[in-house]
Amino acid sequence: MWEGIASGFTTLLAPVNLLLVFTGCVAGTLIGMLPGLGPISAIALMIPITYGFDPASAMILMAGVYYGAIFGGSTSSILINAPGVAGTVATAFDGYPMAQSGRAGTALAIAAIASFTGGTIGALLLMMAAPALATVSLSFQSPDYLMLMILGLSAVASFASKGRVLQALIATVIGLALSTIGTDPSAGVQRFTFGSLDLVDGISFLLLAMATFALSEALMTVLRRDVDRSGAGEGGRPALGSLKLSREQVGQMAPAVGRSSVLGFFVGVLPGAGATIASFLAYGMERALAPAGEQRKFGHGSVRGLSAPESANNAACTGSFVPLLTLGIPGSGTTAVMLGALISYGVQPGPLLYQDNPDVFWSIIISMYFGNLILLVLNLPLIPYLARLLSLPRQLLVPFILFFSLIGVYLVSFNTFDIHVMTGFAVAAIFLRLFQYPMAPLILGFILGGMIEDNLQRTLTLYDGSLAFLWERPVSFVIAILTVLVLLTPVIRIIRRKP
Amino acid sequence: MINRDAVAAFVLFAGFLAMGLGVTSIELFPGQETEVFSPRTMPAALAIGGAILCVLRLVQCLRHPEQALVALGGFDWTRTAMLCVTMIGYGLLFEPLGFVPATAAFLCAGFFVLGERRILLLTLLPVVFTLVFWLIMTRLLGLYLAPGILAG
Repeated sequence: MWEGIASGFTTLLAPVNLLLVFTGCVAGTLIGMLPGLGPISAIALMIPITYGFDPASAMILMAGVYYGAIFGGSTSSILINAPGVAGTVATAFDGYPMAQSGRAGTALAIAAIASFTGGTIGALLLMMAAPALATVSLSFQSPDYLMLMILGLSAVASFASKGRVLQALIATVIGLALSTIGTDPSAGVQRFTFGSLDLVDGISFLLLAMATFALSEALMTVLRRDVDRSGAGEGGRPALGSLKLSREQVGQMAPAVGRSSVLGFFVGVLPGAGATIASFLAYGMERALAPAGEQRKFGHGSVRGLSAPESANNAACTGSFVPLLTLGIPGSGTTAVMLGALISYGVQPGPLLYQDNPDVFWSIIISMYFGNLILLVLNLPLIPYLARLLSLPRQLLVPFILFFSLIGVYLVSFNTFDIHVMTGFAVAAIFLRLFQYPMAPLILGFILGGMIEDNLQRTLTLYDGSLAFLWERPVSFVIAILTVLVLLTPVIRIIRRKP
Repeated sequence: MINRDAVAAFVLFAGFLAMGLGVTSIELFPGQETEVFSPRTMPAALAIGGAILCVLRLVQCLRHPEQALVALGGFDWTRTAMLCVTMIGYGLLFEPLGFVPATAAFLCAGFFVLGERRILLLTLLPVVFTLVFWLIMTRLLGLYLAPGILAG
């Protein structure tokens, strides 16, 4: 292994490859900041550029772009509440309130450091345990996935603030219901399409996320007559907040980042689970573990609430390379595009990659770590400039947010019907928000809805409608117990508090 | 006095009821009615679950009217509605006019609705920004953006 790591470093430290990883990080960050152009689009855009490169150099560029795009997505989540990819939705929960309260710089610095740490822990785990984990990930079956999704859904409990449990549950069901629009994946039957061809493929995540987060937030600022953003400081300049983290903040971050990185990596290893579930689970876990006083800060700019999903998200992205590199199975949309790219370079990922192309195998792993490092070095100095975006006067900033949200969705579907649907959803989201229905459970329900239905169908078919899988499969059983514990934690706390 | 929270819960209840009715119109292949899981299973379960939750919320609102938190007064509904109309207009004009004119018009209208009155900002900023964005997207990244009237 050490020889491989040394060879990976030798390949990476070639001046051309260093330049490539740097370029990839910059390009990825810029592309990722635009809603709609997430890691998948960013990597797909790079494929034609890398045709003339050797496989190791091409993958080094891709790794830089990948991490850059993820960080770019986090930046737009934090600054304008526009999570361009599902994995950064949870980042907006505390990152955006932090930016709004004049701590945009702090939020971006926490995100950069948490991402770096998550990626580093992920890369270390990838180096040490990739082949063994690949076998474990294959042992997961539909019932286990179903229980994992339900555990992910239990994170809804984190968004049910005092007295709003019912609203959070209703919002979750609305999200789940929206996920059923379109063609049923198993039978190919159309559901709730009202004969419209534009709805046959259902509603995209990006459309719903942009409408319920970015558009509705921008419109809410107009509706509430927010003349000055609370983040604006003297002279109309944004109160950036210090980039230096206090000892207290580091103390809050460190355990959250450690736990969430490990959790994120292992969730990321499972094909299909990915960064989104990892980030929601990490957010829910941190909130459940936080003391009562700290819990109240979640959703209002909590350091733990921001660092947990950010580190889990990055660690999960690294984890998703385990099935790709060791088994040739893409665990996410992004790794599927990377698989296509690798095959086009004449490299076949799988058990033999380690033997046949050790330079590529180790270059990818080392470049992932290095990509994280470059991102940190690159992004920390850029933060004041990125945060300056908030200093735009409201009458200019709001139309730009609306434009980037609309065009981001259009660039994926190339269908103007989506612009109208987005407007409709944004209006509906405003009304739901006015009546205290939180948007986070809605988007969580939507993201998990399709996967839950798919795995529920397979599980019930496999077990002939019986729930026996809950006690017959040890993995499902353990996850079910975890879910019950997560759901019961608030109740236990209330009981313990009563004399 | 109308409890607005209760009205919202009732509207959502009606939505889930409509979804439940819509479930009956989902087509099934012969024999699927007796299967453990059909395309109707999940929507039906969600419609029932959602309706039950809404009824619970309705009861909660009616039993504790003092917890009705919503105050809808003091909001700038006019500007919000105008921005929504602008977005709809953008969607309608995007294909026929093309990306550049439609986007420049959209941004200009957005700035105007929100109170910007400086002519230079209203005209120059949208046009320059749109052209730069269009060049990056089409020339640098090779993405398609509807050319509309610019295509001739």
